[in-house]
Amino acid sequence: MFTGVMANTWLAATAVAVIAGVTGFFAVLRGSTFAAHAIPNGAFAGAAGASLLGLNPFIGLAAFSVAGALGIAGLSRRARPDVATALTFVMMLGIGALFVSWSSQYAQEAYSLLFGEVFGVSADEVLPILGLGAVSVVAIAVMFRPLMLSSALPEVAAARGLNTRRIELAFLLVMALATSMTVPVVGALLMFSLMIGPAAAARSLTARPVLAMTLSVVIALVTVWIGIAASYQSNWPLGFFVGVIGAAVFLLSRGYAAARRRLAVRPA
Amino acid sequence: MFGSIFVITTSTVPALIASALLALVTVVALARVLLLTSLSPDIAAARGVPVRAVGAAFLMALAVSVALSAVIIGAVLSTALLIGPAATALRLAKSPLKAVILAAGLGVVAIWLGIVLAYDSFYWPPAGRGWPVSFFVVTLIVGGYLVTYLPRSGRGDRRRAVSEQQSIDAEQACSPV
Repeated sequence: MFTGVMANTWLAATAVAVIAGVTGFFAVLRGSTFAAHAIPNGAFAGAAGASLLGLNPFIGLAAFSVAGALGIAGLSRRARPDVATALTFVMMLGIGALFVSWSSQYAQEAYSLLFGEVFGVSADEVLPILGLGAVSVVAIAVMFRPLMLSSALPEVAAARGLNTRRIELAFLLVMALATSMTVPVVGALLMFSLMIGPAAAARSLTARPVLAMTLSVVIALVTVWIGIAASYQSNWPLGFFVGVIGAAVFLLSRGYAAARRRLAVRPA
Repeated sequence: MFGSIFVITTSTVPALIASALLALVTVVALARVLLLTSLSPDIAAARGVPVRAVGAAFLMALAVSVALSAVIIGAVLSTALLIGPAATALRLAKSPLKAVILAAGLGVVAIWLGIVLAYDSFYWPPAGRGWPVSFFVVTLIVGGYLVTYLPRSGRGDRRRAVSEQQSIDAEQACSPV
């Protein structure tokens, strides 16, 4: 279970879980989970376009996820963020539909992008994922304090002279970078559930930012590890296990938080 | 996910119309309450409106219409039609009722034009297979939305600016201070 191709799978999945835990924490905190859904799913249009032109799909993914981040940030200046995200998302999907209709044999590859091929990761795919994971974690670490402030208290951040729009754009770009590399490996749907589930669970367990972020990474790691082992044994798809474990952990942590609140309210 | 608007069978049309009517009736019946809870949930709650129940009813109407239309015309189209025209209309119209009517009208225009263009595109390059309807509709909708942000210029606007300035002058002339 840990040899050959499977070693690559474990490495890639571990890196993906760390990236998802770190960026997902801020996505949940900022309430931009819709953007976290839109960027990886919309970016598949870029892969479709790249394969149409005979380019490496990764170039298309990177271009479209960055374009998506820019589009969301640009439209958000004037419109509500959810409307901006939705319009950018449907535009990307519409272009994707056009690309898919132009090429005749692409549909299969498009589906593999949505669902990923985590058990077919090759050695030369692992290195870029590890490198990119390091880059996005370092980027989040560098802007940790301003990002935290602008996520938790946007008005205070603006009053202290922080450019919250620029921080929003930087965060969306990190998310785009993270997803463009991870999507071909784990798939857009899996990336989304790994970003949101663990982070939401961690947030209801603790209010301390660093602890919550660490917890979210740990939960993402455990989820993906259990998922791979279970998927290897049962031959059921990894996405199923990751989704179910993510939802279960979230429900458990909500139950724990509710129980703790009730205990705290009751007089001693 | 993408569906196809060109392969709708005759048997699905009644189901589609029925679900649309259900959603329409729900929204019309709840219109006043929905507007109040959307604009000011606190006032609605203070006036005794069951805010959460209204929200759940609206979500159900939304779910029925979206689920059926997503299966038939695809998730892309149904999301685009749901959000784009409404966002455009809210920027242009001056009252809620006008915004609702304008949104519905814009949606109908976008999908009709999209179908016509897609039908025509069977003769377009590169494949000779036709471009997807969803691409045209999405482009029309997003384009229409972006047009509302263009700086307004022209005589009508200048005249309005002048008349606004005149009314401000008149106000200042009339005020005693």
